[in-house]
Amino acid sequence: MNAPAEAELTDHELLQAHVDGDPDAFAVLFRRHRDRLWAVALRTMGNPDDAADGLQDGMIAAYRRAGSFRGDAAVTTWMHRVVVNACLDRLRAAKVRRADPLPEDLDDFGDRGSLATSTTDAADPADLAVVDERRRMVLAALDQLPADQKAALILVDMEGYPVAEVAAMLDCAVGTVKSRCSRGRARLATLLGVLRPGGDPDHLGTGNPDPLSSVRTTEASRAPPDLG
Amino acid sequence: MSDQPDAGPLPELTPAQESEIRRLLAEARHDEPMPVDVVDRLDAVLAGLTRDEPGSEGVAPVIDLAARRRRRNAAALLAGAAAVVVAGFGIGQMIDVSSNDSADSGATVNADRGAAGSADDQEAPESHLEGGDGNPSEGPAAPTPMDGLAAPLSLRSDHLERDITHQLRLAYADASSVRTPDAKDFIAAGCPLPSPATKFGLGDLYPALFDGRPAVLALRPPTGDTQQADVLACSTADTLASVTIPSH
Repeated sequence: MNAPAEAELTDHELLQAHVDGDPDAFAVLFRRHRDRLWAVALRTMGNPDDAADGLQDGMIAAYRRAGSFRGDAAVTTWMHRVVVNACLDRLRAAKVRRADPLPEDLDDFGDRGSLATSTTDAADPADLAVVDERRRMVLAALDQLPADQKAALILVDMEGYPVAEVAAMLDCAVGTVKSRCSRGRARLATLLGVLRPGGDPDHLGTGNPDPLSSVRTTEASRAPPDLG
Repeated sequence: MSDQPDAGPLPELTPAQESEIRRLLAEARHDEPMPVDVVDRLDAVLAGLTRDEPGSEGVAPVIDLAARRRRRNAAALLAGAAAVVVAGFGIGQMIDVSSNDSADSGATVNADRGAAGSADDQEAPESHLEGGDGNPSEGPAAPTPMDGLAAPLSLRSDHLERDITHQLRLAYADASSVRTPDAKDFIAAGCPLPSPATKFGLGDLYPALFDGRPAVLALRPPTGDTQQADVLACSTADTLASVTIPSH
């Protein structure tokens, strides 16, 4: 398969060419979408090593099962479904929930100033460091969710796929995806302290400790204010 | 697979809080390309998959299984007819039913032992395992009732339950013809099992061709009147498909 020809073929055409025996077609197809598939695997598995294993499993499964693709959805939807299922199978087989505690400095984090409104366009290295650390906290909290909620949030809120398409990827009803996202967001909000009484959602980790947090403060008492 | 139960009641988020969580998740999206070492690794795996495809350089081409099956069935019918003739002329008289030397000896064996379709037919040179006996390039053969369950079952993803139940019924129609597969059968089918094969789980394993590609059919222990049938990848034991069939 020469370069000009492969660039003109649609995903469906490449997959069909692979099923028909073209030795290069699947590699072209996979190369076209591998960065996004890698991102999904990485966020689902939580670390690069496991992500590479999960993505390899999914790639092999897609290579071998290409003949079963019925063309009733986008090829990328099907490929995401195969990869996500491979990753979830690995997570379930390991039967290990990632129990990484939230960062030790969670309660002091608010002292560093506002986090939520800064963007990656900030030129100030200090702001970039804050964004990076906020991302790390979000990912750590994400890893504490049940696998199905985590997968739904990764595909809907991180990757931006429509709920209907994610339902096809996860082979479940649209309502199920919505429910998983809703419950997952509620858990994240609790883990990240977005719901703290009087708390500012723009300040992760400020104020009294989150009761579900694994970190205990040594500072302010949680007793009610003295009104006497 | 259903969600794991949440620990305790969950708060209901305001629109602002939900937007904030969604914004944080979007910010945590991974936008960098796949690392070079992962690219190299997956490229190598893909190259291996392509290299092992039937018809690729160094790998035997796919043979016309239907034509092969017709030739085998024709030889079996002739051998059966020869057995009837032998029985009619008395013991000890041999009939040449083929111009092929290997088929001659096969036909002779069949004539000596009576009707075609017996378990002894599997010892004839033109057996389903001729690929494994001395011609490994022949590739896997489609099963016939005489081959029992040692030949690869031909399974289609869109007719999986039907294909499994039909071929099991054919194989067990004559209980004397059933031969359970061994490691050589899987090798001959292009699907060598890793050692140990425990990763395939409990159940009976059979070589299969799933949509034309080597795979393993695992029949799980029956539960009442039904049992689960899983189609698994050869080397990784990943589940490719799964159906529930009547227990046999």
